[in-house]
Amino acid sequence: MKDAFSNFHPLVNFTWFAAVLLFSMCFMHPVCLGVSLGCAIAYSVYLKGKKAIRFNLIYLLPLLIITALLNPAFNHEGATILTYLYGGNPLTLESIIYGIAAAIMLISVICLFSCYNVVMTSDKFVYLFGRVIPSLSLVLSMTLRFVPRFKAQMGLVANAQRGVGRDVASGSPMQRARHGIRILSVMVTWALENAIETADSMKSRGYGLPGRTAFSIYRFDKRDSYALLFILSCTGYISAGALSGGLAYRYYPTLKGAGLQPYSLSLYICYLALCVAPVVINLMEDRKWKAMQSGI
Amino acid sequence: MNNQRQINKVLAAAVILCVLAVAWFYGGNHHSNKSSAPYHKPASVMKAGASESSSLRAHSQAQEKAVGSQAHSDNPAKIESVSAARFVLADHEKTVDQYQTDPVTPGKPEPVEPQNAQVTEKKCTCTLSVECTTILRNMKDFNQDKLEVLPQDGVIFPATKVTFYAGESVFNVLQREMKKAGIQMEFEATPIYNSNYIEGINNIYEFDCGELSGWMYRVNGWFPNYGCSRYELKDGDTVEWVYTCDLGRDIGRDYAANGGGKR
Repeated sequence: MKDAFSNFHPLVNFTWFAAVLLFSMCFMHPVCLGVSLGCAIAYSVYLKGKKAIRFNLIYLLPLLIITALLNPAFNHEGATILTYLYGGNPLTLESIIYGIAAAIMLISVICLFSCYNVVMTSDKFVYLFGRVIPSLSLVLSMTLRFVPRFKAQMGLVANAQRGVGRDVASGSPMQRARHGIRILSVMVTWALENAIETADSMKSRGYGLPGRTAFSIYRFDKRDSYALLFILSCTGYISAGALSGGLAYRYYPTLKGAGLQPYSLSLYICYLALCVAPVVINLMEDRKWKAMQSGI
Repeated sequence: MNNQRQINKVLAAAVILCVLAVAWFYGGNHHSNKSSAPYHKPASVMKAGASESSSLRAHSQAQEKAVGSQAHSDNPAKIESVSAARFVLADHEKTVDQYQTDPVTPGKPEPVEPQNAQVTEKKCTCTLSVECTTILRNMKDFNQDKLEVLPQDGVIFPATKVTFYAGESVFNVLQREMKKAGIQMEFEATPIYNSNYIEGINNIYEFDCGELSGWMYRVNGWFPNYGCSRYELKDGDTVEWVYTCDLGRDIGRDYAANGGGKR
């Protein structure tokens, strides 16, 4: 499925990710956590399909459980004592709930970053920040690209080594280890050399020099300005609401916080609207596309 | 173009310098405030600034190891007293026991290591109370989230005659009675002092009423200078757990009277 939100101007994409990441890191209100988690998972599944479901189940679910269990093991604050732990400290309801909340925050941020990597490709990032912070943006985009590139190159090297009879999958354990280490050494050399080569080639092309222009295919049209306006107004309203305590929630000593008052409710809805925007845009585009197809 | 870059560089340097200067002055004030607090002992005995926290911990367990740690003090104004204290330190290391405890005031019970304590079947009674009335006098510093667990009169556990088994420590009695009464209590084992440290009772924790606040204990009117797991109770003792908002000074822990200040 093609992601329509990725076709928006990079500025719109970046603003959305910056706002949503910041909010999901800062808000500990259960409703906000639920919204962030739900939207992050929905978007990651939309972007990457089955792969995202597998990633969420294999990595994020165990991470959620471990993080949720860690908190009550070390933190015994809270008014509702459920039982006493072996060490003598109480096990409290509040510490368990806080552990779950913190775990949900952690995995929704990880999930959002996995979406970020798909949507904010390095060319978009360099397009946005190439002028303001040339060297840093290059370094960042090179770093973000490094792991997938390293993995791809590793496959190439392993295949080449297999071709000359140094297969990591055959031979005695000692031989296999030796072959593996050879591949690793090749990779390290390649990575260092590649980084220098990239830096040199960017320099020789005049990257970051004043007055140098760069071609980019991005256009900031009406659709983008509407989207940006929507994101900014949501962000402004939510920030104001959060600062005035409309999204406050405290876990210790008792669970208490903003409930279903109209003001808080409007903030939840606004936050939901902000978080779910890319998925909604995609679904609308899909429907439009289908309607046009059936119209032919 | 080049000019513009030069200007940018100079501007960046100026901004960094400004930030550093602000940080320096802020930090400097912070420390001088701390050290001007009315300490009765050589002023440097208290650790300055952020390390107050562990200082309270030490005092709450009444472990006077502060002289050792104040060598870390980064307060330039105190260099003299720090170097003076180094001499004290040399003396001091000879007198503290293996768990950093100063000599106990003559006539007061010596610490009993919990691993050596012999708990018998013999039933004894002591009076136990837990209160935090100091918070009521310092409401402006109190953590507003904790208001609903703060009792109106500041008494969490009124003075009650409780039963214990001869050989048990203050910690054992507190833990058992809090559990019995359904009052939340969190402690942390601190091996360096060979004792448990009481972090919070009834969800009122250390630092909940300012950075000098926490739980301390008093037996028969005396604040022991060692941890509560090392204090072996005797029949008829009176144990009071009191919350301090000022490192014990507001609940009558006077160092000179407690033997902590004499080295």
